[in-house]
Amino acid sequence: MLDRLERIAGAAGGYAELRLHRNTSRVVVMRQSAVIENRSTSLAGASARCHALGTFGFASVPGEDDAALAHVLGEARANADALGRHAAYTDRPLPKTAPGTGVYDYRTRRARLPASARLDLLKSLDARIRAACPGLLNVDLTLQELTIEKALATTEGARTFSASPRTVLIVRLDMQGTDGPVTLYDVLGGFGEFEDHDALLARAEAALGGLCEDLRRKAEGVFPAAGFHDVVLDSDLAGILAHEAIGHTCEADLVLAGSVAGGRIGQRVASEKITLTDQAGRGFDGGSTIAIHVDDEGTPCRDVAIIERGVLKGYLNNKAMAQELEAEPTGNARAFTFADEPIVRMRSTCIMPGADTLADMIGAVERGYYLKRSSNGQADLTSEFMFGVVCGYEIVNGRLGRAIRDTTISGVAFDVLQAVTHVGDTMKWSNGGFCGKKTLIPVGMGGPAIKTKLNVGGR
Amino acid sequence: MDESASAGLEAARGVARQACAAGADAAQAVHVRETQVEVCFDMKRLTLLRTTEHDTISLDVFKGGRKGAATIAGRGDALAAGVAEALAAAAAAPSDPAHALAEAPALAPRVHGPAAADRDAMIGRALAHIAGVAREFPAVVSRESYHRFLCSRRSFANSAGLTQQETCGRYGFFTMFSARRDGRSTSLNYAGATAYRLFDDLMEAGALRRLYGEAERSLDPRPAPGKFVGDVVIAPGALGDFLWSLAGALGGYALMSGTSPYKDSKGARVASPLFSLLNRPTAAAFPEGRGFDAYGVPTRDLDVIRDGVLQDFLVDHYVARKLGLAQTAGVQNFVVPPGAASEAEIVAGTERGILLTRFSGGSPGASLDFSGIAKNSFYVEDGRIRHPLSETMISGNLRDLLLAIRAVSRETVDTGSARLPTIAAGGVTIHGRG
Repeated sequence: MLDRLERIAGAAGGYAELRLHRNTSRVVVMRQSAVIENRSTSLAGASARCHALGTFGFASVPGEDDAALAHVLGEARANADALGRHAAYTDRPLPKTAPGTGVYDYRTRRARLPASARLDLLKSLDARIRAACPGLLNVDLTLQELTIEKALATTEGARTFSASPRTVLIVRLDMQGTDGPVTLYDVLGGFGEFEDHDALLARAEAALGGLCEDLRRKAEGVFPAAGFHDVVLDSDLAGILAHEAIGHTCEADLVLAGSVAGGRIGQRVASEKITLTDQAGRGFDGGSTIAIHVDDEGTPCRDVAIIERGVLKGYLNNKAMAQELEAEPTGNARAFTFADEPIVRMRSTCIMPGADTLADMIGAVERGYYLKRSSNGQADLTSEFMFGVVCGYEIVNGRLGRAIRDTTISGVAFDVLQAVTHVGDTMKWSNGGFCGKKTLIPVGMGGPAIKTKLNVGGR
Repeated sequence: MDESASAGLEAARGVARQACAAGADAAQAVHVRETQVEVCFDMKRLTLLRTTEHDTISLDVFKGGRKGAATIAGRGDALAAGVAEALAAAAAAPSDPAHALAEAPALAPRVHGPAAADRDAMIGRALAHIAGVAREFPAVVSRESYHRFLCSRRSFANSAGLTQQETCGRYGFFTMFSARRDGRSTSLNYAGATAYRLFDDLMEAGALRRLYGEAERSLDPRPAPGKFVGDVVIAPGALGDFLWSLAGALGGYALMSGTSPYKDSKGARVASPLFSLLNRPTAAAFPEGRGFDAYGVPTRDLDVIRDGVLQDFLVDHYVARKLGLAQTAGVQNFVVPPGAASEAEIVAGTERGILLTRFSGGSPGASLDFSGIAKNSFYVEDGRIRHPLSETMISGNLRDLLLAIRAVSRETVDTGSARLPTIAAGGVTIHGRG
């Protein structure tokens, strides 16, 4: 396959990327013990991107043979030429990098399991949840599998294949609260295909006791007091803080759009306890839920230290943004499907662990909140972020108190990181995680628990 | 019917036949053929011309009350593998009599909008927009804008002989932007709209011109003063986000889970008499609408809330059978009818509160409690807009907010998927970081 790609890409005039790309997924959803979604999907195709006269042309078709490859390459070239003629910009060659090479195939080596194995897992888990947590209004179980296979050749000599799988099990429980239904969920699974997760049911069962207890207490919970509070963010929230609040502001395209991180390289932006990185491969400890070694422009991926001991160190680049910022491409150009062009995306982004224990952090708070699980999150150029919080507790005099209802936390990320006094000693990657920026894409995010101050929504 | 249109229907019929021949009791398939042209640009330059083709078949198979599904791009071996996957998935699923084909009348094939893009005109509009923004809104910057033409043909067939087909060509525009001056930037905002016709001027898409102007007036934001309970004047973009949460609570799957706060409220007052929520899903009304749903059932208009009273739920074919209700839902394209007051009058009638242009918040849970940041928004006091906001959170309950609506604007914004006014309601907790 790579020989074929390399041969056809070699026929392109000027800069070109040629990619064969297949996303294979399966989703099974069980609600109230009924299966409401039970679908497998395989979407594959060829795409090419060419550069000419300061602009790009891109084309894709849902085919994988030589004719499809030749077609997309020709059309991408024609698109680049057509746009370039209209734009009449000065042509500047893109920055060159060492060509990314290698085969990174993380597909399972185990025997394939049938569809019935998925359904049996959900049916079994559904029954155990209902036995363990009586009185639930509803149980939702969602099993999501996604494997992304890419073969890439470029006119700069990149030649690589990767297959990155992820399997996620979402357990959502609903219970009647004092003034209406309350919901809580947990996300299990992680890197690898379904066949690699033979302990998934056991892990779900192990998590069940804590989840039910959190839900039961949330049903009797209170609204937090709206205001600026001391908080302990558990690793789930620290990961989303790293991704949403800091990572996005350091993507080079957003830096050029005026993000608060622009022009601050070398400045102190966080407590010196904070080191935050966007990592290649499977992350520093091999535990992230995605794998990326060569990006979709053919650049070898390297780790990027975004913040090192509180000082802003670097941005995330693709070739075009690196050209504008006169920087080196970092291997952050990623495309989700065969029909998407590569744009600047994060990979596995995390706050590095420190030396504090969770108990010490909670003990250091006189009045505040311990926030355990997040839902969605969003940030922008100013680094003002918000995350939905679906599970948390009051902290009173260093001890956990009443559970709180759903809320939203917000702050200006650099202020929040400046206010960090504790960084936990236990690193955890989120088991799922997608980023939405023009298109969805799987990302890894993680961190230890941290203690800081921020705004908490409430009554 | 042209050759490719009949090929689409034959592809859908063929895979449904193939599934039945392989053992399914019944099957339905949707073949989707899409062609897209996209001109990407920022506020300084054109960046990318992108053309894509999609050709997929989504298959549902039914066997003994069990359902399995597969989506496949391709032909031949891929198709056969997809049929086998769907049948294996169905065989493993529990039996559920609610899984079945729908009975529906066949519509005549419909074609909406143009069949092909005018590429040169699209590039010209993008260049004109770059120049126009630089001239009229020099502080506005963007890195992610695209002017898109998408033509999709959906061909449906089931094993009972029902077929449907619809072709829709439309132009769209989306941009993400902020304002930047003297090293200061505003929050990001975004806007988009679709239409059957090429936009004469991209600046007129949706509420873009207004939003660009608001961005330039937001370079010196500060928090709302203190914490108080006040009014929110919700602009169409933010209203759309709240309506999606409301639609979830009024949807069949919330009824099925037993978590909808409205499950016993049909016929009851759930909103101010000033507020109605209409679902207008057909593609003739909206470029992003559809003429038939995933079961081949023609979509139809539904008054979900009329003058504040809940008329019906959004229930699809499966949930209708599961819960013994009438099917009502198609694709959700919401219209909130306009009111009598102008937006300016609504702001003038606001004693203390905020003009909420964008809501960035956690997804409301089943109880519809919400909290989040007021983005790209303004503080209002004594009927006047006082200053742009930063670090200001709002919280409340969506059910309470709907009942507290005190005004609906006569101006509306049409995005091609919804048509919404500005509304105003009280009782929301507002607090700026003090």
